[in-house]
Amino acid sequence: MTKTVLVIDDSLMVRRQVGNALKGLGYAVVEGVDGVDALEKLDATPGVGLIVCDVNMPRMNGIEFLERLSARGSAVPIVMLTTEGEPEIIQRAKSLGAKGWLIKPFKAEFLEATAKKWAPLTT
Amino acid sequence: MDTHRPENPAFELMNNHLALAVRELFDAYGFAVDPSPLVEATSEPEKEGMAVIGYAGNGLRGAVILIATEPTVCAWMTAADLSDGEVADTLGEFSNMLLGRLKAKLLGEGIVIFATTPTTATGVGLRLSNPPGQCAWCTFDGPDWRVTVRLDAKFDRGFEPDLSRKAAPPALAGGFIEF
Repeated sequence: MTKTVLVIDDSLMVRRQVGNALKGLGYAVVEGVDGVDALEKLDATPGVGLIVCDVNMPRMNGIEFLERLSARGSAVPIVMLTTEGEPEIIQRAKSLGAKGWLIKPFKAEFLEATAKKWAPLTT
Repeated sequence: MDTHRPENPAFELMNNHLALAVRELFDAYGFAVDPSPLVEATSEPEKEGMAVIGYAGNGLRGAVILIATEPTVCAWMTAADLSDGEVADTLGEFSNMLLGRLKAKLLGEGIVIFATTPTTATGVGLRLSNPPGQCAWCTFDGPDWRVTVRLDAKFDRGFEPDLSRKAAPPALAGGFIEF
C-alpha cells in the first residue's frame, strides 16, 4: 500500500528532486512551499506518513513548523533536509522531535533509507 | 565589473573558503570547475540569472552572489535530473547550497553567520552596484559553461573570529545525521 510523503521546500528544484526520488520508490508526494502552506496541506491530506522539511524558508521556517507540529502533538515523523549545519539548530530540531537531518545536496540512498524506515511500504 | 582585492585576512579567508565551496558544490553534481581569469564580455549579452543571498554574523555582514547564463543553469538542471525546473529557482537553490557550504567552513574558523533566503533576478545585461564594504569576483569554468561568484563583506572595526565558537560541522554536505 502506498504512503504519502509531504515534501516542504521553497525551492521547486528540491521539491522535484525529492518528489521524483520518492515517487520512484512508490510513495505518493504532496508538496508545500513553506511552513504555512505545509500546515494547510497536512490538514487537507489524511494519512501523511512522513514529512521531509527544509529549514530556511519564507513566512514560516522549518524550525517554526516543527514547533507548531510539536505543540499539536503530531506523531508524523519529520526529517529535515537543508543546507544548514549549525549544531545549535540541529539540536533544536532534535529536541522538537525531528528524526534526522539530511544536508543538501542530498544523497538518494539516505533519503530512501529514511523513507523506508519511517514510512515503510507494505505489499 | 570592478575587482576589489582582499584587504584583510578575514575577507581573504572567506574568499578562499568560498572558492573551495564552489568547486565542491559542482563536483557533487559531476562537474569539475576551475578558476578562470575575469574578462569583460565582448559578445552580445545573453539572458542570464543572478541569485543573491545575504548573510550576517557577529561583526560582519554581506552577500554571496551567483551569476550564470540561462544555458548554464539548464546544464545544472540536467545534471540534477530536472526536466521541469525553472532557471531562477535553480540558481537560487545552488546559491543556497553554496552559502550552506561556506557557512559550514566558516564555522570551523570561528565565524558564525546566518543567511537569508535567496533573491533572484533574470534578464539581459544585469548590472550590480558596488557594495559598501569589500567585494571580490571569481569566475569558474565548467565543461562548457562559466559561472561567476561575488563575495561582499563588511566588517566592524576590530573584527576577529570568535574562536570559542569554532566547531567542526556535525555533518558535511550530502551527509545524514540520524537522531
